Amino acid sequence: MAEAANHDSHHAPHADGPSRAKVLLREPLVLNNRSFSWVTNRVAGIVENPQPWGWWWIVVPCALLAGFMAFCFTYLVSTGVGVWGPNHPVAWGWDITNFVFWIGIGHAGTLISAILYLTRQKWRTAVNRAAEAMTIFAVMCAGLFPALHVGRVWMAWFLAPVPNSNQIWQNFKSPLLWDVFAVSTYFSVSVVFWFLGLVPDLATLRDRCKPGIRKMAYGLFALGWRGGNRQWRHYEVAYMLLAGLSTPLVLSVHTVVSFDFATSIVPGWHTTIFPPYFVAGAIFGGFAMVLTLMIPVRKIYGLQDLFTMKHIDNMAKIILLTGTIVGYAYLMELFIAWYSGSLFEFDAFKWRILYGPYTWAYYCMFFCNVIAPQAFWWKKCRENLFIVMVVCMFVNAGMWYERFVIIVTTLARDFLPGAWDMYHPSWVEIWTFIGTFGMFLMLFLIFLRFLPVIAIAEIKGVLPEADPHYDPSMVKRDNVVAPPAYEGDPHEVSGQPATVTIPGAATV
Amino acid sequence: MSHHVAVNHLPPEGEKLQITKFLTWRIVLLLVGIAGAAASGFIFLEGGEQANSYAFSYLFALEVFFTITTGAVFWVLLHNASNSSWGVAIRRIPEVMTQLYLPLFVLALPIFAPYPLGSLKKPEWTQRMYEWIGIHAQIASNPPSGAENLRDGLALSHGTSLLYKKYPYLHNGFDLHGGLLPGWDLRVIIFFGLLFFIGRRMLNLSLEQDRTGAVGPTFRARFHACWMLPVFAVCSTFASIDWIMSLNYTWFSTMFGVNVFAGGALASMAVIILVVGTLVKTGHFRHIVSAEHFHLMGKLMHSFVIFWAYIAFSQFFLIWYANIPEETQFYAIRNTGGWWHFSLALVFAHFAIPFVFLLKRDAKRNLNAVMAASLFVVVVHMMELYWMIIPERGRSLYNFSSAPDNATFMRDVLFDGLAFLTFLGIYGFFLIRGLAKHSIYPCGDPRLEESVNVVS
Repeated sequence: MAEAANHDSHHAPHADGPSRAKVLLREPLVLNNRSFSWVTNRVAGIVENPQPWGWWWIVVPCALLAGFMAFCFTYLVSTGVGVWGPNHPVAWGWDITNFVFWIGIGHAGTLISAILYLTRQKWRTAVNRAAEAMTIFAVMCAGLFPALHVGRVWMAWFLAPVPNSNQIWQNFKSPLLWDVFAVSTYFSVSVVFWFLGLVPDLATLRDRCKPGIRKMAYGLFALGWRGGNRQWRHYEVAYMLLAGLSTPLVLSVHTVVSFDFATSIVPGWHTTIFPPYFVAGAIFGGFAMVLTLMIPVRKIYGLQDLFTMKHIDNMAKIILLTGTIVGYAYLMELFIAWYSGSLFEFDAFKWRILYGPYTWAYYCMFFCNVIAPQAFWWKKCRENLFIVMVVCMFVNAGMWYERFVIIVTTLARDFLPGAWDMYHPSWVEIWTFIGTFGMFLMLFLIFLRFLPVIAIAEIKGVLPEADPHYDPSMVKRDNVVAPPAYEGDPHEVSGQPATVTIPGAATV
Repeated sequence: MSHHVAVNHLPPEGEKLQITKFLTWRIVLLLVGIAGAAASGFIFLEGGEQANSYAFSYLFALEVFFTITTGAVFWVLLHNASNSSWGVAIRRIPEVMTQLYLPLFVLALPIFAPYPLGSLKKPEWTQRMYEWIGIHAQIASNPPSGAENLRDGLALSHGTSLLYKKYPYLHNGFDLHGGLLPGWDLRVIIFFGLLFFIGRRMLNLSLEQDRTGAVGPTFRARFHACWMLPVFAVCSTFASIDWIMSLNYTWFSTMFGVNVFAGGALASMAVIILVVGTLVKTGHFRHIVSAEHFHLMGKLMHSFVIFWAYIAFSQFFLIWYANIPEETQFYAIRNTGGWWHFSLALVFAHFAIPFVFLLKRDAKRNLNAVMAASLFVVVVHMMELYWMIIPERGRSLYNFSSAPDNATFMRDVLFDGLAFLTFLGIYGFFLIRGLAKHSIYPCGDPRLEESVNVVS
């Protein structure tokens, strides 16, 4: 009985009388009835026009910070890991904290691209490009730390299972090695996925350029895209397959990162809920970072009609959901630490929460990750961009504190009281971490400068005109009800011209 | 895909269940339920070793239907909270399923209620099944000298210090010595009550919309679903801890609540597919449910097969890797003896087979295929709960062996079947009864048109 449930398709509908049901329309994903050409002009215009002065004001200091980070790494490699703060028993300090922090942020992009694509969430089109770029830059920042914390960086190639004359093989039983495989695979697939999505837009930029180096570069990476029917068919199949392949990767990376801790028998680390809790936390932190970047970007580049309050609302709700899941995990850990009757496990939590030297970090974490996002229960808060930004900042900080709490508070109070010690980061560690922010922002700003921040081709696909069955008269039916409007962003109601004038743009 | 169906062309009163097509089923299920309940009552009233053994079978059957009903609550809440439209056409089925907490609560009483009636004691079979309750009862009846209350007694007795520590959570009634938490038996009422309240509220909003066709209930349902989700999560988690994990009070896992939830939500989606499929096959849901809906439900089932495997594997793997005896004891009795084959079968049946089968698009769109997969998923969910609960019978009653002899083993297996049939009969009867009460789809929902025309 092939496609049996389609049995109804051959019959005329009932004509017993009108239904009582109304039709509740969905919020438009692009506001002010923008046309295809407006979308192209607006997004491509960001790349084609000079950047605002603010761009230079941010990118130059970021580049300097990234440069100083490179100096810190050089100093580390030339002197030894002793220039960092780790000691006995805190053998992992800011290095692994920062690694897990950045790798967590690197989850939102592929989640938005892959999982939201597979679940047909059309609103993803406005944010996926920037989120994917952010993912790649965050994973690059993350990768620096484990590579450099090994001490003898010139031996880092030993992490790869390549035959060598010493017949030394990696410890395949170690989750730290799985991390290498998981993160590198994730990075590779994320880059390919991001690039594949860029191809049609690169062709658009190529076609709009005057002949020259720029046109040649865009043309080179556009891979001869002409936008023909066959190309689109192949492209969409490839995109869906990559989305399907990326989904388990998104989940696997932070699962493996959680295994770094949970496979051990260290109290506070060994807990079975770690894998889903880490994944939820990564999505949580990633979404907060996407909003942190995109709220200013939409304002500066006039993208309010494409990246609307509806998008912010959805993302705020995801932050609320994942933050609450993280809260569930914190409390479940705590409950089972007590319920287990295990002295060591419960003591680890007592040190964290009641009387350890790092209780302040636990409360910072709990407030930032669990309490602060609860503001998003209220629509007023989700509509107020200042509050959204403040909450996202809390989440960004909170997710760093979470990793710090897990790593440092646990190690600082291990089994032998005689071995207890405090951990203090050195100036090298602090500036390295600050430097990664510089590198991250610098790369993101360079991305804004040269590549379309919103997926032009994809966002056109969610315009009403893109639907072959689109019926403008539909909204005039008696039983059609409009969705409730969003408040709080006056830019949405005012129309924006198709020509791009970026406020404060440089004239050079 | 069929042509666009405008909601104006659908009957205003929706569609009623054609009850004549289910009369035989209803009678058979009722008879099976009544006969099973009578037999169960007889076994429990007889008491003794048979009742102790049957209690495990009974808990297994209760958990199968409780987790499926709790999964239905989840799907209703998720649908409303996520502002989803595709599922409107089939939403009435889980909504009706959530109403079945009432018969389940009555059926659960032999395990959780005091017995003999009029006392505050738990029946002997509950004391044997949940050993901590048995130890509490022993100490309460024969307190050590100097003990002013039960918790003191646990502190002063030999070998019960763990129960002394856990007393604030693992105790019965409302006991100030155990802190402010309501006891294990009171929590049964709280969990059933809250989950039933959630289901009832959601159904009422949906029915209000059936009558009025107003848009308001959609927004109110969304609002309520959001705050109800955390309440649901707490009830679902602690119900699993109380009723399954505390069968062995020395074992613990932070993932356990999620593990039981993942299986329940999966099986619940399978039951929804089975019910919708049966209704479609019997001529219901014309112009309402199409292959697209089965495709979407099949995808959700597929994703939850993966989610379950992820959770179950992570829990096993972390416990196996760390190799701490307090934790490995759960798997030690399930990975040895006859249970080893059962554990292995679970890996294939609960993950590998449905995962591969449901990868195929046709398997989700073809009604027979997706119904067969759903039936299989329900069976493997039963297998999982059987694997969680029944080995504890051997540990508690038979000194870690599966059964002392073949005759007892056969009797226990028959008991398991009897308990399951009892619950199946009563649950099935009330499900048909519930479906017959209202329109089988939410005919006043403003997202109905979007749902009937959905393209997967």
